[in-house]
Amino acid sequence: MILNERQYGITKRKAQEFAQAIAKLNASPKPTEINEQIYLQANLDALNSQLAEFQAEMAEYEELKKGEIKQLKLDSFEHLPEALIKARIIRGLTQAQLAEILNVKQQQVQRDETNKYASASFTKLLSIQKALNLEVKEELIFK
Amino acid sequence: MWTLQLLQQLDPVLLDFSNKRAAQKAKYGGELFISSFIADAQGRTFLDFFQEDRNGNPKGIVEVHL
Repeated sequence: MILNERQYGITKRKAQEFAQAIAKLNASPKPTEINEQIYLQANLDALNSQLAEFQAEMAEYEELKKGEIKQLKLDSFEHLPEALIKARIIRGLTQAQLAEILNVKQQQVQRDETNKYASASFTKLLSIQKALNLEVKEELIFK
Repeated sequence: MWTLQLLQQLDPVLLDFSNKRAAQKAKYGGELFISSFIADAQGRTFLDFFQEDRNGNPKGIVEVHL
């Protein structure tokens, strides 16, 4: 998942590089030897596969940044960290701006988001919920 | 040093890159990219690609000789 403008820019550059590599391979003469054909096809498939992921991540980030999403539905509690990151982007806040509201260093927010809040305290999660002005509707289902 | 001939002995699932490499991840718990695969038009390879994290910083990787 793309977390900030820097990552978005890097992903965009990588996507362009991969697209250029695909164009270059497609333009090269088709090998006659079977193993070289397998190798070329695998290289193309690998590039296309990775490129599709870059494009999906960029599309997701662009969609979040529009700020039009009104609610996020969580399939499970495990997805709460990702939802909090998405909520920050939807609210139009950078990691630095959220850090300022929380009165922590920007690097702290970067670390927390990169680790998907794995080592964040419950108190911190609550303060993020408050900072982003979110309502979380909870539902516990006993299986 | 591997040769191209090895490709035909390879489990085909390792060359199946569809659906975010789901089949190879399911079977082997990981994914295979051949290090010499071209990754841009300037001749950088996947070996170079995987040595940079998503913030553009250098990233350490482990090389395994087969």
